[in-house]
Amino acid sequence: MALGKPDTGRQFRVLYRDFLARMVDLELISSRGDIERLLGQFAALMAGFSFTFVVGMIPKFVVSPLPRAELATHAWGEEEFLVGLTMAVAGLFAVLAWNNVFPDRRESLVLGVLPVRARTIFLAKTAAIATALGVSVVAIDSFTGAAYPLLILPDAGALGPLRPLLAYWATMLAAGMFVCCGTLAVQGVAAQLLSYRLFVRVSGLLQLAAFFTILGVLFLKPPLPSPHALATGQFPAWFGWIPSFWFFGLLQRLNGSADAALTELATRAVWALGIVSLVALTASTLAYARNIRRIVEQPDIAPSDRSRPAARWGSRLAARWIARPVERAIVLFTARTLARSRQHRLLIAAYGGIGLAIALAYCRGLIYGPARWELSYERNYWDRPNTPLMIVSLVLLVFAVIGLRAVFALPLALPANWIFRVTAVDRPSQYFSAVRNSVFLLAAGPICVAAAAVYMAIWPLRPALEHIAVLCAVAVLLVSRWFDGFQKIPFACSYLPGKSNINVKLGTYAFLFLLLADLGVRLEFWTLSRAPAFGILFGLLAAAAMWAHHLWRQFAEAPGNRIQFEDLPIADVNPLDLHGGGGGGWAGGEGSTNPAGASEWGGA
Amino acid sequence: MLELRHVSKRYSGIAAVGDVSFTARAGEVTGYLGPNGSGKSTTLKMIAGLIDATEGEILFHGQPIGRDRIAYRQRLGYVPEEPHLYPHLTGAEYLEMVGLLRGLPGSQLGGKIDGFLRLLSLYEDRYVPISSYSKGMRQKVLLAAALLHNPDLVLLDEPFSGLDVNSALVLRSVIRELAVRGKVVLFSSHELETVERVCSRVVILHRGRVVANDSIEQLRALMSLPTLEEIFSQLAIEQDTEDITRQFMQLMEA
Repeated sequence: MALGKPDTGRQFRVLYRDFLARMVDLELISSRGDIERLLGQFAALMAGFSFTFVVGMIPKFVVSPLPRAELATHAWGEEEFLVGLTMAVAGLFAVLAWNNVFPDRRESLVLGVLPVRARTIFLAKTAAIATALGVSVVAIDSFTGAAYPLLILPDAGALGPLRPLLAYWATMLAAGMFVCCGTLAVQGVAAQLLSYRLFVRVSGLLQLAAFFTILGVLFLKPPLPSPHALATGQFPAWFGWIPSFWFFGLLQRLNGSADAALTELATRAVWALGIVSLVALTASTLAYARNIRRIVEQPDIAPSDRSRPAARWGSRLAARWIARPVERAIVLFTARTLARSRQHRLLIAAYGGIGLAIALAYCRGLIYGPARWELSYERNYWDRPNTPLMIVSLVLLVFAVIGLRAVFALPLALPANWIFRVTAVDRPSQYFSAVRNSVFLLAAGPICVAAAAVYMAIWPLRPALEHIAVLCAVAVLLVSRWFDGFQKIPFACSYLPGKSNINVKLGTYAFLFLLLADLGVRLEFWTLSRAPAFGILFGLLAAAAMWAHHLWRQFAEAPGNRIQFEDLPIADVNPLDLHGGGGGGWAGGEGSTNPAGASEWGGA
Repeated sequence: MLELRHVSKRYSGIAAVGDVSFTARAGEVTGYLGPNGSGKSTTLKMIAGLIDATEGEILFHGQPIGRDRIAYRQRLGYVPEEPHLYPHLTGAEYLEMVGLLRGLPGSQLGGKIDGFLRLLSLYEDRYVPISSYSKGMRQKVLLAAALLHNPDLVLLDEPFSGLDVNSALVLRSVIRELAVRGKVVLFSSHELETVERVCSRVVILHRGRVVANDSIEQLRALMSLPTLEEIFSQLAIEQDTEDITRQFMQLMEA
């Protein structure tokens, strides 16, 4: 039976729906595995931020007695922040969608044998990206995009009140498109210049670099020059190369400003957008025209005789330093998985990125002086002990440890975990100890060592050593508490959808942590020049760390403890445990034991 | 000696394996046969300790395997049906991990791994991630991982899957030699010709129940059939293959 010519429109619709559903990696930010729910949650989160921003910022403009033109100038700082934020959100979306933008091996193998033109695939993918990008930009600007243009209305031109609205949205969409196309262009050019094998290897690093560049630019860029400085050109020349300033200039130009400096920034925005769009389009077109065949012909990972010197050195060092074989196996497995699994790397980067963002925000004052809202504080300097730099090490430590715990819970090649089950020839406490030591070796240790190197290089020795001692005590306290009850081998336990990795709780904890860290560091800073006070503070911290370690050991060596290979559902009904035997305690949570077959993997 | 006594496994009340009893002796290769879905792999998983039996007992050298699981696991080598491995590790790294998890001393481990990789023609690819390995190469890694610690009980679930002719011949010989050296070898496969050559006795499973448990010679004599394939067809195949083929073609051309 001969089949008719395939309906291209239908193919496009089917592919568009599929690509849109797979635009971001669901495994990475799981939300019951439901794309609509996931996108809804993210859109709501961003819209919530936009609403909060409006509630916080707009009233001062509503009640201000200033004339409209002056009011509009006063809003420049916020407008530039919103442009930067939109660019960051679009950039982060592009980073999350990184693996789904260009055809990969699986996609090429599936679609390559079907009667679908590369052009149809390309158009469907482009449409899906545009849709997802549009949703991101609309969500983050949903309230500010209505409030700012209308409240800070410049002189209405031919379009009347419609003009600022159109200007705002056109600018935000252009800014988002610029970052998204920029990311695509980097990826696309790399895909064209490198062999597919090399591209697959480099792609993950590029993705991480893009992620940290976007965060770095958002949080480290200088404050927008004042209107006077802009008008008179009294700002460093390199300020003119900051993309969010370009698009801020574009916004003002579209709103009718004839200022020369703003016009120049706007011109740069238009050129930059044109160039990156063209490069992204060309690279993407070429990728779809050429790469599908290239991809099918080559494996994802090169079957070469690479000797992996770094991995071998790591193995030798582990053999020298870690005596117990089980511990060595777990540490090496953890390190190798973090180094090679793109998904896990990206998730840990997300946590590290949040930490880094907060750290950079603290460092900003050291570069550009205190912000307007910080005027009550003294100016801090790099080469003297200061609270911002002290907090930075603490923030990075906390987010690295939290991130590792979250990443450990996310499985890799779950069916392969049978090997841990059939080789479990040691007591569970040995495995828990190995996991804890992995955290020290892979996160807490390197951060403490790096911090020690930095502080000892830029600060006088005594305060540097004092802060490092505090940091080490906090590391022990944190790791012991955070991994108390963690009964899994990293990456080897099932993970139920619905326990999202990035959730609202994190925001609450982060806020509380920052509050505590700020207070704690101020206290520590005060004790740095007072030896007895520092002695008391450090003594208290060391005692807390020892207590936490003792609690952790109690958990690890508790009789009947099991290695957990199956995640447990969050129970709808919690047992009251009225018999007091504790037998009903499997009400979910990572620390619970598995009631079914719990004896299976326990120690002797 | 491995002994299964009235072992059953039920999932939500549905029996995957029902009342299976047999013995696999040291120095013998016991073939474990059955059509797809008959419960072979489930039985092997229960023996490996990966899942618990709903009923019955599994004994190794007279001791229930659950009595001292750690000691039991030290003596067990298992090749699962599916080559589930960690794809981001290289072949050598995977074997290193398995060896360390089994507590093999580091001084022995490197040499053993290199030796196994050479014998299995994987040495050249020792630094290549398993994700790039072919199915046969993955199967070889599984074999090496199962034998690395010189186990006393070897469970092989479709060990020939994906192997080339040379490797299959080597494996066939290795399986025989394992038995000669006093190991208990339980071997599940669909390749009846190989089973006939390698195994001294067979257990045939059908719909989760044992329908034959004897030496191959004895079965041939009892059933007056010349080959294991014919014995197997008689005991475990219910379908009319020609009729199914005809229906298949009709459906395809409809």
